[in-house]
Amino acid sequence: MAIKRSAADVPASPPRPRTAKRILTTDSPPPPPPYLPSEVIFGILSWLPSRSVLRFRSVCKSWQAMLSDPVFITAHHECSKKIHPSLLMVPCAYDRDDLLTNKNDSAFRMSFYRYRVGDVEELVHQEELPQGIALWSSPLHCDGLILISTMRQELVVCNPATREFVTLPERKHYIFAFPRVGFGFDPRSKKYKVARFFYEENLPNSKKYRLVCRFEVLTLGTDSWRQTADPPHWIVGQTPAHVNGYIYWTCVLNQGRVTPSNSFVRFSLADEEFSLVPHPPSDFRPARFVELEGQLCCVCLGFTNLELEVWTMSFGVDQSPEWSRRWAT
Amino acid sequence: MATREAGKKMIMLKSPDGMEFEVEEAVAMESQTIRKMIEDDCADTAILIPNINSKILSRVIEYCNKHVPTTGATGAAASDTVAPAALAEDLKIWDAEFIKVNRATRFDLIQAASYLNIKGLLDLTSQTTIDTISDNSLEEIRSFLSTKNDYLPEEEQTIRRENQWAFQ
Repeated sequence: MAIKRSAADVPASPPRPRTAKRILTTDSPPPPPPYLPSEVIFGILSWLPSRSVLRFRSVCKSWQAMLSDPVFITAHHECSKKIHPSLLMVPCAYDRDDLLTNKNDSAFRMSFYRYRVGDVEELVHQEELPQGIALWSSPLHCDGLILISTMRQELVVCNPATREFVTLPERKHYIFAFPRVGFGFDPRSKKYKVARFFYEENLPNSKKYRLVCRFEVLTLGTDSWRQTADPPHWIVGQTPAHVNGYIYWTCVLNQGRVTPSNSFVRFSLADEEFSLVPHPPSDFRPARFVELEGQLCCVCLGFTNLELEVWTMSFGVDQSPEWSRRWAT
Repeated sequence: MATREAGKKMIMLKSPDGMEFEVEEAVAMESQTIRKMIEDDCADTAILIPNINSKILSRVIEYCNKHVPTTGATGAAASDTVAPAALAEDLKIWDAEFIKVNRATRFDLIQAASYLNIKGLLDLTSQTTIDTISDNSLEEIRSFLSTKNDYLPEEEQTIRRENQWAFQ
């Protein structure tokens, strides 16, 4: 603002902040603790480990308010991504034998490890999940929150930083197969949403038997699933990817018989609407999605599974998706 | 340090205690506050930094000098031979040395970084502060950042219970 001064002005401008400091700290015993503006304190506390954030909520009321504020939580999350690049490992028994022998109880206990490159992994927390962790779906994550499916088809959201575990509300369907979920953040409403598809028989008593792919959404913090319009194609059960407010799934066309599609289904968490995105222009078949540096990344496998290509998607000036090949064997 | 080219634009920074520092425009523009003033064309040759004394301002300039990206024909030639990773590692070590200062100086640096909007320096000073306070008791924190406990005893009990595992 009015910082610009010509050289001649300099002697006339008093060193104002010295006095300001003294006034603000007069009632403290010597040596006076330094006065820091609240936005600076906010900036410092953003670097705290999660455990200290929870502890420091007891410092005073204004800190409690600040440290619980979504703005702080976002800032804190950004900082911790920078200083603790870590892997979260959730060992579960995916092996059938492990499940039968109940080896290490691993399907009923979830362990969180922190791993830093060049270091040994450190066990951060263990949680017993008596409902059992479902073996058919991988845990999903978004901004440090983890979504797990249990054997009883419940969904549990956990925050390893605060050690909170929340079981999401359920709703009974006439469901043909296990529903499969996606999990992400809606940038418009600033809410986390769980979205899932499931299959239903069109009419339980109809002679013309047909399966229909349905879709529903739950906003975290609310207690009911909301059914959306049906997806344009049948979604299939590969682990979806969440990128910038969109969830991507693979799909098949159902025209009398199931045929492979040449598009992905994309669900917008903000609009709660579907759109289609073409496959990458690869000779190989899209096999897996991941989010990579804020972009959708698709791994394509050759027929023998020995050849592999990695494609990433960006948006052109007209917002149309553009694929580029990042890597190939 | 690469030798300053004669053609480079220099900016004069003045501290309120009357000291003047001549720095390259690129170095001064590490501060987003100063960058904005220069870009908005409201800085002539001298800029007064109102609330940062010469001791702190000289340290801030030292930091910016080290962190300004080396560009231009002569500057780039030297850094091209060094891998970016090695350069980043070198900066990290330099930062660690730079921040070995007493608490009062560090707080002055935080305020300066905040006012001048130098993200790297603000992150460095904040992070270092956190390393020293994250395990402190609540009483220590209150006196460290001059904050008063305004909870009633029972309120404090409740809020502690909500976050119990963090105290174990």
